[in-house]
Amino acid sequence: MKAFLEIVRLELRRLSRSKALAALAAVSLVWMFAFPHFVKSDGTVTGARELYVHFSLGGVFVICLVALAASAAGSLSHERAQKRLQLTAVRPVRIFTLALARSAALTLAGALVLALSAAVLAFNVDLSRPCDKVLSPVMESPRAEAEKMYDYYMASPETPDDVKKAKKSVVLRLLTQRAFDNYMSIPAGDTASWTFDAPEEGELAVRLRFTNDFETRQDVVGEFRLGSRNGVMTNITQAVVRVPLSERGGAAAGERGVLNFRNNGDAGLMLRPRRDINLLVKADSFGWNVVRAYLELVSILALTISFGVFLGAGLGRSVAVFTMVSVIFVSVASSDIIELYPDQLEKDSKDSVGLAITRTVERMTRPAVSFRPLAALAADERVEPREVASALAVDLVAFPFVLSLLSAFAIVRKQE
Amino acid sequence: MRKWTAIAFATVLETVSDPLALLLTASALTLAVLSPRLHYHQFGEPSRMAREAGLSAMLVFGLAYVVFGAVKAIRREIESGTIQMALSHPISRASFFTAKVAGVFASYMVFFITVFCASLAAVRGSEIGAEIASANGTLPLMWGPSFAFAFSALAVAPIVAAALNRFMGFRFVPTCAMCALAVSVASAFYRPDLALALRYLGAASALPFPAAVFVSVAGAAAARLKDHAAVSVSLFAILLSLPILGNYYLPNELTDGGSVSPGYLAMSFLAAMPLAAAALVAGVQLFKGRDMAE
Amino acid sequence: MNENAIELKGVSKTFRDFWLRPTVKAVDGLDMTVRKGEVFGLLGPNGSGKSTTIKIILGLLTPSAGSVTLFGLPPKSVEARNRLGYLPELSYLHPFLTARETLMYYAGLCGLDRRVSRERTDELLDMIGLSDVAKRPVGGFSKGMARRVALASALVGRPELLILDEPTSGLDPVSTNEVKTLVKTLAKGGMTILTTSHLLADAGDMCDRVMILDRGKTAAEGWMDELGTSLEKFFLAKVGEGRDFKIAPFLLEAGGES
Repeated sequence: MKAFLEIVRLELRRLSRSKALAALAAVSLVWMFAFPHFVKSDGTVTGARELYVHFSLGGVFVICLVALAASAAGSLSHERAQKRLQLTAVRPVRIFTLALARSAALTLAGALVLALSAAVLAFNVDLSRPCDKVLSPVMESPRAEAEKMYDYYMASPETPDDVKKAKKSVVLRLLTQRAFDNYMSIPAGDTASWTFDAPEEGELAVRLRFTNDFETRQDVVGEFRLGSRNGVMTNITQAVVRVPLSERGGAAAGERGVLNFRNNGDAGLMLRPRRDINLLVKADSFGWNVVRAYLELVSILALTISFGVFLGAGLGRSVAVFTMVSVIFVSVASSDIIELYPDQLEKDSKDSVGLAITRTVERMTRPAVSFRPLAALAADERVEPREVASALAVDLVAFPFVLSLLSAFAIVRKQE
Repeated sequence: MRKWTAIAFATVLETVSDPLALLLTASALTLAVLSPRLHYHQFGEPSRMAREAGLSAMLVFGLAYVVFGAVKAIRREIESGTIQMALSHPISRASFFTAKVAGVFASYMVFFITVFCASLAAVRGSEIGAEIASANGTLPLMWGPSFAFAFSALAVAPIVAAALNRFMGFRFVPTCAMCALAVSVASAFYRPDLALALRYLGAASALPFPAAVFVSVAGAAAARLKDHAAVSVSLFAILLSLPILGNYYLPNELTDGGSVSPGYLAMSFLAAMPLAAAALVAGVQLFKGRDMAE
Repeated sequence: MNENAIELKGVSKTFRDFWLRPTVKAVDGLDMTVRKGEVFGLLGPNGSGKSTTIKIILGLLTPSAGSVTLFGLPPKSVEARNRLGYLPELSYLHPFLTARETLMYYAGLCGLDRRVSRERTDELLDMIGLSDVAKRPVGGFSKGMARRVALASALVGRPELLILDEPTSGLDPVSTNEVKTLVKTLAKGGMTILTTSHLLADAGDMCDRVMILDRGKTAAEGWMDELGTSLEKFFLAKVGEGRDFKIAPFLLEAGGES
C-alpha cells in the first residue's frame, strides 16, 4: 500500500510540475466560463440550462478523457524508453502495483479537474432544483415482441424478398430495433393505458415526447389519470411536455399503477410507448444528481485511463498515444456506423463480419463514450444509484484491476 | 549542399521508419479505400464519396503526419543528444534545422503519393462500379478488382514487408511503407483514366501547401518547446486555421466533371509559401537561440 | 540457512529477433556464486555479458536456461527485491523530483514509514554531501551529483545485497575515492556487494573476489589476494591484449582538409 501511494504521489507530482495538471484545469475553467457566451440555446431558460449542463461539463469530461488517456498511454512507454522503469522494477514492488498506481493517479487528477468544473456548475445552477426518477411503461421486452412478430412478419406478402432471404438472427435484430420505435395510435376520443411501477406517494408527473415539430402537429388535448390523480394537457408547443399529476378531490380511484390518457383533441395521436411516454417521480435534488453523475464520470475516466496505461505498457509511446486517441474516436463513431450502415440485412459476409466487429467495439466501449450521466443530469433525470454503483464496481475497480494485471504482464514481456 | 542533403535524407529515413508514420499512412489508406467500398451513398454523383474520403484522408492525416514528424525529428535529436554530435561538425544551425524540416516534408510526400494513388484507384473503381450498377440495375459500389488492388497497399504491404524482414533482413517499418507506396502507385495505373487522374491530381495537389506551412510551424514549435507542448501548439494552430484550410480542400471543384484551375493552384501556392517561409525563419531563429544540451 | 547471496547455475541467455531466430548468445552456461558479505567484481571487456548477467540477477531478464537465486529466492520475487539495492550504469532519475523527494520516493517503495524515510533521507543526503541542494530538482544536477543521488537511492532500503553497475562512472577522482571507501565500509558492515567496472584499478581496490567474463563465459575467477599478479595483468592474460588500431592512412598525411 505504501509503495502504491508513493507511485501515486510521484505521478501527481509529474503532472503538477510539468504544468500538465494546471493546463488541464485552466482549459477546463476557460471552457466552463466561456461556453455560455458562445452557444445559443432555444431561447428558453430550461433549454439554456440544459445546454449549459450538458456541454460545459461534457466538454470538460471530453478534454480530460482525451488528455489523460493520451498521457496514460504515453507515461509508461516513455519511462521504459528512458530506462527509469527498471529502477522501480527492481524494488520490492509488484509491477501490477505500478500499473494500478499510475491509473489511480491519473484518475485522481481527472477527478480533481472534474470536481473543479462541477463546482463551477454548482455556482451557475440552482442545486436545490428537483430531479426525477424516470419510469417507463411495464411492457414485454423488445426482443420478446420481435420473436412473437417474426413468423407473422416473414409470412406477410408486404415483407420485401431481401428480408425473407436474410438470416433469422439478422431479421430478429432488426425487429427488436423496430420494437423500440413501434407506434401506437390513440384515436380522437379514445383512451390508452400503460402500466407503471408507480409509487403511491410523492410528486408525480407524466412526460411526453413529440418526435415531429410543433408546426407539423395537430393540437394535442387530453387528460392523464393515474389512481386518484389527474393532469390535463392542452395544445403544447414544446418537444417535451411535463404534465404534473395532482389529486382529484372526491373522484373514484383508478386501477393502481395504470396510467390512462384520454385523447380529447380532434385528431388521433401517435406515440411510441417505449420512447415517448414516461412517469416522473420526484426524487432528490440537482446537487445530489451532480454528485452521482460525477462519480459515474470519474469511473468512466478510470476505465479509459487504465486502458491507456495498458496500451503504454505494451507499445511505444507515440504508437500507444495514437492508438488510444483512435480507439476513443472509433468508439464514438461506432454507434453511428451501426445505425447508418446501409447493408442492415448483412447480405454480404464482409458486412456481417464488419458489423459484428463494430457491435463488439460499441458494446465494449459504450460505458466510456455514451456520456449517459451527462444527458440525465442535463434533463433533470435522476442518475440512477444502481447505475452509479455498477460503474464504481466495474469501471472504477474491476476493469482497472484486470487491465493493470495485463499491463504488468506486458511490461514484464517488454523487459525481455 | 551535400551536408544539407545528407541530413535531409537521414531525416526522411528516420521519419519513414517511425511506426507512427506507418500507422498514419495505414489509417489514411483505410479511410480513402474502405469508405467508398462501404458506402452506397453517391450524393448524386458516382465516385464523389471516394474523392471526398481520399482528399479528407490526405488532408487530416497529412497534417497529423507533418506535425508529429517534425516535432519528433527535432525533439529526438535534442533529447537523445545526437544534435550535439551533429553540430560539432561544420554545419550551421540554420542548415541543420531547414534540412530536418525539409526531410520531414519529403517523407510527407511519400505519404501523400501513397494515399493519393490508392485513392485515385478508389475513385476510378467507384466510377467503374457506378457504370456496372447502372447497366445491371444494382446498387452502385466500388468495383471489386479496383478495390482489391488499392486495398492490397494496406493488406499486402505488411505481408511482403514481413517476408522481406524474415528472409532478407529488411527493416519492417520502412519496407512496409515502401511496399505500400509501390502497390499504391501500381494500383493507380490499373484501368487508368488519364483525364480523371489529372483532374483529381489538380485537386489533391493543393494539399501539400498547408502541409508545408504546418511542417514549418511544428518545426519552429519543436525548436523551442518540449514535444507535448510543441504538438499542442501546432494542433491548436491547425484548429485556428480550419476556415482557411477549407480553401485547400477542393472536392466540390470536381463536381460534374469540373477541375481545379492552374491559376487557383498558383494563388494557393502563393498564399501558403510566405506563411511557410515565415514559420521557417522563425524556427531558424528559435533554433539558433536555444541551448542544445538538456 | 543459505550462505550464498547470489547463485547462478548454468545460466544462458540468448536474444532472439521477432521471428524467434537467435541473434546473440550474451551469456553462455554461466555458473557464479556470490557469498554473503563479500565484495564481488564482475569484470570483462565490452560485450562480454556483464550487463546481461546483472539484469538476469535483478530479474529484469529471464534466462533462456539455468537457474538464478538471490538468498535462495527467485530474483523476481518481492521478498528477494526487498533485500536488494541497485545502482544502474546511468542514473535514470526522475528529473522533476528534488534530491530529497527522490530518496523519499524510493524509501516509500521499500515500504519504510515516513519517519524512518525522513531520517534515512537526511542521513544519506548528508553522506553524499548534497544536503545543501536537497530541494533542487535532480534534472538540473551534474552527472556526478546525479550519480550520488542514485547511489543513495540504492542504499535507502538498507539492502543486504548491493549491485553496482559501473559505480564510479562519471565521478571525479575525489568522488571515486569516496565511493570506494563507502563500498569497503558497507562491506565491513556485512553488506554483500556485486560490482562491475571497466576500471580495473577501482575493482582491484574494492573487491575481495573477481570473475572475468569473456563472450558470455567465465574466463577466470579468483580471490584478489591469490591472483599473484596485478588485476590488470591477470585480466589481459585472460581476455587477450587486444589489438592496436591500424591508423587510417589519411590521418597520417600532413595538413588538414580545407
